[in-house]
Amino acid sequence: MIRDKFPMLKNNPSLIYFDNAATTFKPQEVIAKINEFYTNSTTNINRGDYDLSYKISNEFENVREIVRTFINATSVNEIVFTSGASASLNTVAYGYGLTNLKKGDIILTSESEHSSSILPWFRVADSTGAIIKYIPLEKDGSFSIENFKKSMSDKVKVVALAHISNVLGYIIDIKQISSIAHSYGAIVSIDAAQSIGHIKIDVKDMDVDFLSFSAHKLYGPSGVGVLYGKYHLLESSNPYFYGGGSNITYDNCGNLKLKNSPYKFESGTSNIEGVLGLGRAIEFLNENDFEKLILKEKELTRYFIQEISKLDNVILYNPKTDSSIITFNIKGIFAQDVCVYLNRHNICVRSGLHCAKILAKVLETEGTIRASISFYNEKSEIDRFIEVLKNVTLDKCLEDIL
Amino acid sequence: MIDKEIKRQIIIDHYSTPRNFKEILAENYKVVDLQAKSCVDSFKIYLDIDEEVIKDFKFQGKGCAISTASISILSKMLIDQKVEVALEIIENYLKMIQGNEYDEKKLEELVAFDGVKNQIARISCASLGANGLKEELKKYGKTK
Repeated sequence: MIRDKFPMLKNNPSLIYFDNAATTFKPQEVIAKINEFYTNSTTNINRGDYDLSYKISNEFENVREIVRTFINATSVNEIVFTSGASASLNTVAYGYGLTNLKKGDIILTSESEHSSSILPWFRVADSTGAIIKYIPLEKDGSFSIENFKKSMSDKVKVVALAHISNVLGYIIDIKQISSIAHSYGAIVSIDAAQSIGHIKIDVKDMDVDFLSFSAHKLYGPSGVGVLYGKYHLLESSNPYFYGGGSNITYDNCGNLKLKNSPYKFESGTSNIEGVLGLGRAIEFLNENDFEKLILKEKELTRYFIQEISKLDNVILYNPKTDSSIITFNIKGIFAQDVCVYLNRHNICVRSGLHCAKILAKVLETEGTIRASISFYNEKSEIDRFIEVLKNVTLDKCLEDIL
Repeated sequence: MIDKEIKRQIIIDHYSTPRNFKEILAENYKVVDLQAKSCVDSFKIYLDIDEEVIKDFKFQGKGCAISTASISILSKMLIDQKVEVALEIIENYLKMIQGNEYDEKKLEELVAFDGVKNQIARISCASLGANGLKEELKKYGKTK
């Protein structure tokens, strides 16, 4: 059983973990890989004078190839290792945006974006005089391709969107977005933090220009992520931080010649064990038939929606979710009070605005509860969760502190 | 130690009908901006302090039952109190929340939160208003 491969699940049999959009558990093999690096293979990379460094440098570079295949990029030079999706998104904004945008250019985004996807562009707009515009959402908070088309113009230079909204879980058709954006000469930067572990991604088919994601939402370690960029766009971008490993030469007159992508973006010692862990996580998904796991996740989400819809005390915000994110509230009880009650029943869900503060206005609520499913969840866990939720009252939420 | 049922009633009463719940725009009011670090709780407390006495205390915002009810009770207790006395009440309340020794007599309805110390996830909810008030009042008070 797939659950047996995750120590967190094996060691905590009574825990119901429905916070997979925040982070995912790691398979034993990923943990073992990191452990192996620290116990037998600790070295820095790209110092090829001794076997150990040479071996780990090769392994590290091989992960670029594993990632390239996983998302179907053209070349390993399009795969930049970062510290996570936020760092990747910042690299796009500061690296591409600051270099290529000018006064009056439009950065087009939506009201359901995660702060990591939108805040770097705030700064870029401040520095360049570019303007941020928002594509109006549908009434239910979902993305409207019609509104997107209406928002497009020759002035739009960047379209920055999340593949899956981390609050409402709606999936955006990136292929269509790219085709429309490109017809106006705009580039498309996608925040794939929520989609990478739940949808098969093909950057060539989507024709996306930049794509950012974290390893820890893909069953890999924290503190490591990927920026995919079309090579010519990475070449026309500057790093937003500088240091060792990124340059070919520099002198005391201030002349600097940077390496080509991806190395110019990877100053300083990389999170080597993190990258190796990411490689192992992707191999794990490949070996366990990732597409089949995705189907299982979809089936579980459908069941979750079907069961939670039966409860009268629930307000469900995204009954049409097409990812594994379910967002709801209990009538008359503040989201956090409910989450604390669920915690008492060993159920992990998330309350809050989920880092998408503009969306609160659209949903007309100050906070929601988000449950997010992984393929390692079980129907029986959903049944237990529904049973607990059915009986929740404000009184019961306070029980712990009385 | 008061009865569980009474504690429940106090909290639910102050959560469902918070006292002194009103936005104030008048310039003579000090605004204390409360933003929780790890949740969405967000309040503003409006204080009218004159000659080291809290003449008025209003608040507005959104938060869980614990944070809302605790600020509501504090508002009721601190109006017309000297800053010095208010700080004593707040310090005493925070001691209770953190599981230290405290003087029950000074806390009135705030004793409804005496069980919070056992729930690590709720300590920040119960302390949100008190911590913000303490910071602000320290600027006026003679005591720490």
